[in-house]
Amino acid sequence: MTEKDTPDLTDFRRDVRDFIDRVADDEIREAGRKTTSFFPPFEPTMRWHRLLHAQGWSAPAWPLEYGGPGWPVAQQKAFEEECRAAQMPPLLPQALSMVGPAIMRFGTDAQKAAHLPGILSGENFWTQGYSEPNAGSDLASLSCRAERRGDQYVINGSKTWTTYAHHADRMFLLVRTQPGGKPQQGISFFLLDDLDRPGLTIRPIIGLDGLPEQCDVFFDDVEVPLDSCLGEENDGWSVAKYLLEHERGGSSSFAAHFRQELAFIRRIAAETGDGFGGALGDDPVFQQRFSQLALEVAMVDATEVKFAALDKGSPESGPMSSMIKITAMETLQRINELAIDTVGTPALTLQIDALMVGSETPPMGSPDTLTAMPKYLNNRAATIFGGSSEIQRNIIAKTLLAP
Amino acid sequence: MSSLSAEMRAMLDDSVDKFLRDHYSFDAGRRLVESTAGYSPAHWQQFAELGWLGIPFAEADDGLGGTVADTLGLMRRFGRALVVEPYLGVVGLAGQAIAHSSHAQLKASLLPGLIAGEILPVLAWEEMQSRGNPAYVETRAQATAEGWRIDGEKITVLNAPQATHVIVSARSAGEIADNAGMELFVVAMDTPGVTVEGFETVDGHRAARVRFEAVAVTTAQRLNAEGAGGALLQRAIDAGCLMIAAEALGAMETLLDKTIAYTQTRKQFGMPIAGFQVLQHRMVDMYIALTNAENLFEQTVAEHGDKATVPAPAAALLKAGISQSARYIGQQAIQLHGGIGMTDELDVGHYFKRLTALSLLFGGADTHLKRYWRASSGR
Repeated sequence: MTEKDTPDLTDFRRDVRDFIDRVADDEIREAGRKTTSFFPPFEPTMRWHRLLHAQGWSAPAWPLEYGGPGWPVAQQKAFEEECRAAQMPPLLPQALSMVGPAIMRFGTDAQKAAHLPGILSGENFWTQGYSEPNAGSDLASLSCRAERRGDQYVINGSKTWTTYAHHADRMFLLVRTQPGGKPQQGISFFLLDDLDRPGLTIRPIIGLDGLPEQCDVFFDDVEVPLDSCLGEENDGWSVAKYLLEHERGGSSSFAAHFRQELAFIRRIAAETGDGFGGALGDDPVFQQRFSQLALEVAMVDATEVKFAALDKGSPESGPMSSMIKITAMETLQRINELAIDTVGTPALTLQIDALMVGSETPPMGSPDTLTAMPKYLNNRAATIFGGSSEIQRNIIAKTLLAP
Repeated sequence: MSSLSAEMRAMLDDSVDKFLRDHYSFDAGRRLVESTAGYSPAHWQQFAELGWLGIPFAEADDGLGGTVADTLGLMRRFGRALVVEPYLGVVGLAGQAIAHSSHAQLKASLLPGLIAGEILPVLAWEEMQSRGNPAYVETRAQATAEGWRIDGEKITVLNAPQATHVIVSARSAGEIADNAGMELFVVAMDTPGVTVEGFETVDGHRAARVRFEAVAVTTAQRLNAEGAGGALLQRAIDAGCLMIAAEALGAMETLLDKTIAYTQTRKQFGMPIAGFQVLQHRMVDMYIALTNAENLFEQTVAEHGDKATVPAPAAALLKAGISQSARYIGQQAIQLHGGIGMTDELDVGHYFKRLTALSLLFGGADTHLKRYWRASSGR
């Protein structure tokens, strides 16, 4: 990055803050405060997405040619930081950060034209169909299959952990189009532009926090057009891997997010007693745990800045995306654990009604403490989804220990 | 450690096992969690008939003549079955505060009803700023012409929405975190000025914030000699800590069993995932965490279970150790189950949430490690 690539970020940051002040309505702000996982409340977040799009800011990491703002990394980071500091809901990653970049890389001109504008604008929302009941860590063993019948593919099988499928109008998924051979061969990457199809059933799954976030999706002779394939037929694994690297390493600005969580813990600790008449924030054990996490976040920050400058698909980007995934997700889990320990037993109160955007039910006690437990529970999934921490370590080991 | 005969204890364990087998499948437990009361009053009556509500009380008070140590087999089994009946709150916390009261008349008026399942007293001790230290009490007890007036707010009062009486800690003298100058009053829930803001907890239990506004009580409702409620309260909470240690062990051993069984059947990469060394080591670490906690628990109970209180350093280390093991085993059970462990449908997540709650109740690991340092340095 050269000097002239970097605009005056102080002015830019002020512009972002002004924009948020002017445009974000109460419901969007409430959705930001009530976000308890990587997946914020759907409707207000998509409205925020569309408002950002009107400003040309919905996809900070997208290149200019696809409608991104063409910002250098430092500016993207400044943007994320301002949005986080204002507690805006993070935009949903499935379309913008996952299938979007894959379509740019592998899509035909027709596919780009058909899908990218709706992703950028927030008109469409995509769910990810990767995992299956028997294909989790071992994703390549997937068995949901698509057969050519005339001028259609016919899909049979099921997908699980499809986040927000009950809100989605589009879906990208991996299907087996050719049996036999190595498991990675014969997989195709499909783009479905309509989920309202005969034979397709979506069933929400209730999570540990008592709310639906994930879904099962069942396919019973679902017909889709032949041009649904992204990339070559039977070579969907290449697309899938490229996308996973984005999911793991480049989907969002983790450091900005985590610093916001730490700020929230710091505020609670200042208001909470230590049981002996002092403030918890003055307790050396609390301070040690907190500062250790600040160190981990600084490392996440440094590594993700480096990753952002890498060409995705280069040999080092795979292992580095795995490293970010491990470091960031394990750090987040420790942050969430410190949060419930800081809040103490008030974190045990189940407050499903108060967590709904637009709810008339006020939170019990300080509103700051409302989300601590749902985040702790929901983010246990962070070391499982997108490839478990164990699988990420295997990926790194393969490169690190290669003869 | 126990005042009951080995035969009696074995009989109790068998009766608990049989009851839970017959009435407490995971689905049956979920139905209780979803019910308005949040437990089964019919089960509670059976607990009374089976003698379980009388285990740690003297025969003279209609009890079985045991101690808190004699409830631990039951609590461990309750942990395995995710029992939601208010045994910890009523028999443990409130029951121990009443049983060791110096006020014989008040004790005699309450214990038989508790043991018969007719009244459900609970203990309100925790406050917003107390962080597991029972001596930290802002709630005031001011002397009036007729007795006392109580003002203050208690948080996370276990089982309060189900209770008939609340035992409240209030300060009549001393500084904010002094053990001296504390009173424990027994207050009927329908007393004017008592407000209960009940809620479900993430682990499917019930608790409440309880506010006391100009609540009038008499000295006859006080469990302790003036200003001496602190020791009685600590004794009740230490009993609660032993009981949740047993419950947590029950939940932890169940989670380890379930995790081993799952990894032996779940196949990825053409083999059961239990065949992968990284997962084998993880399960061994879970086993080590469980076994060390269990051994510390058994030793603490054997050495101190029959005494009036477990010495503070030992009690603090036990609660810290149980809290840490509960976290580790709960988290790793989810990790090794993968996505399915994150669902409401599977029982694993519910054990995880119960263990999360038990690790926070009565102060978490950090709180108790601090307590250990203070107690072992004579403070």
